Amino acid sequence: MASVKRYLEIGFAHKLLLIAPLFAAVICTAAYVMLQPAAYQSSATLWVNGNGVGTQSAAQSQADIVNQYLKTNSFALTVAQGPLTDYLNAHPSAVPGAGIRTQISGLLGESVSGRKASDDGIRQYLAAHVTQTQLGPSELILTVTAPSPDLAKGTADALVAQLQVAEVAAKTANLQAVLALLKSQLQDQSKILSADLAAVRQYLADHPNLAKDPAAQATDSQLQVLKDAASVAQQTDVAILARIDQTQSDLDLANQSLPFRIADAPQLPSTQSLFGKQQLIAIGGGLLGGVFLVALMAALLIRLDTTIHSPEEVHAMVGLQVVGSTPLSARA
Amino acid sequence: MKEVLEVKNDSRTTPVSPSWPSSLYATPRVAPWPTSTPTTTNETFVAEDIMEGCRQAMQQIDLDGLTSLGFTSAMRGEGRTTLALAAALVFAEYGLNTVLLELDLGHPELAHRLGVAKFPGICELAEGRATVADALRPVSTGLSIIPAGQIHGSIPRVLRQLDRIAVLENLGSQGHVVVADLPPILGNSIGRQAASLLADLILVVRARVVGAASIKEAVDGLPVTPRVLLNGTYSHVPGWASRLSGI
Repeated sequence: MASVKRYLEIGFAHKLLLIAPLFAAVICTAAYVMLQPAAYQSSATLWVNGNGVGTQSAAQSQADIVNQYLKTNSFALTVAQGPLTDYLNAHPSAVPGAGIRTQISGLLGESVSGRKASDDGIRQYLAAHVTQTQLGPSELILTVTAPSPDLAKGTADALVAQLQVAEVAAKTANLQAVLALLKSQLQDQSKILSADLAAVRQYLADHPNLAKDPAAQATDSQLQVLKDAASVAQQTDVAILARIDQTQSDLDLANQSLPFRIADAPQLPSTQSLFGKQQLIAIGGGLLGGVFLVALMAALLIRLDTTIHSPEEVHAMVGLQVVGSTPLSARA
Repeated sequence: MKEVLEVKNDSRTTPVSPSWPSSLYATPRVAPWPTSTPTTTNETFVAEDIMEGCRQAMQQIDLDGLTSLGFTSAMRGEGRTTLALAAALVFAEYGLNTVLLELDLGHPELAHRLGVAKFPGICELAEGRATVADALRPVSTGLSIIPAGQIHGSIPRVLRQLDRIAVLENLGSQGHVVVADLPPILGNSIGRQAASLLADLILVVRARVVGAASIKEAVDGLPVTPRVLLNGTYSHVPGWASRLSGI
């Protein structure tokens, strides 16, 4: 209890010193937020078809899939190609992981030309500027934050479109592979069939009497072997064709059954968003940093304070007998 | 102004306490200047809460064998002079014939604060230019002061001379209890030299200002182990925080 009292005394005696780091952190955070480029948000509402994975809702499963896609450079670069990539090339300080000098130049409004945003930088920027909100078990909102309304809407459109393409591609990839294999098999089988038919024709040409006598053909064992081989090859060819038709049909079906439908397409934002994801992260980080600095300062003050606060501490700290205490002398 | 000087001059020769200008007080609890029938209370010189703290502290001291009590501190500005004055007033309240000795010769302020003539005082006494009777000035009932006086030579020499002519012993033999306002100990050797003249010592420690290491350094080597009077123990913690923390 005595130590708590001592800590409180130290804290309230140096309250300005304790508040100063928090105040500085808030000022720095506010300055950082104010110096950030304008933020516009464009959102698309997706209605996710089907069921989720395990205990997850469909929206949650779709959100996980989107997160996975956003971690791949190929997906991010496809979404960002065009205006967003141009913007990031023109504003390298906006790319996460840019050097401190680039960041400062960006905050001061200095243009840094001649630098191309890296693929990783573009992916990180996109991941940091896309937020997902689940409205219900099947409803998912994708929100893109960008420095201009056009960029926000364009990126949101590209994100949804690329998401559709990627999802369809994921579902049809196996069927496409099977179809390619079957087509390859069909080509091989066609060659075999052609060769077998050619062998039958060649045999009949070599034996003209057989061509005019169907009864003799039926009794010629060599010809029967050749005809059987051609017949088997033809049946195999037909079977492959049937499988190709089935696979193509499955593929068409897969192309038509999208994993989600767009309930609300992205709109052109008309007003600026005050607190985007980046700003909120900065504010939270600033406050946390300020609180950490306050704790650090308090620990430092407690550590460095060797003064006596109360009569009870006199004997323990300096080994002297205390006769009493008085309030502060006005003339002291 | 002439009237003021006349009143001050009167105070040097008569035991009647004058009324003091409010700018000189520890706390401005005083009747308006000048009054035809001046009344002086202890609160005139020292604030009542400090007096009360000092009363309680002095109860811890054995008054029977007390002849001299010095108030010193590790550093300047810890409230040493105010508490020495308060202790002298408390002793006077107890009926002791108390003499307040201004031994902080480098920075005398008691005479100014009490509105008595600054000399003759300790220095004149040490140099043989005045007697104890010349230097002694009544302040209130049971309390007199010997101010620092006008320093001509070095302070250590004055202190050595005081020791040699045994001024404190003489005052003690006359039934006086001496309360001395000493210089601070750290920073020069005068503090220790002056402290060695007193039989008992009170170390005034200003709370939350002086570190424990400085206090230990000040106490180290003193002829008498001082007892501590902690000054400035008001709390910075507001009431709501005390209630919340349960202290």
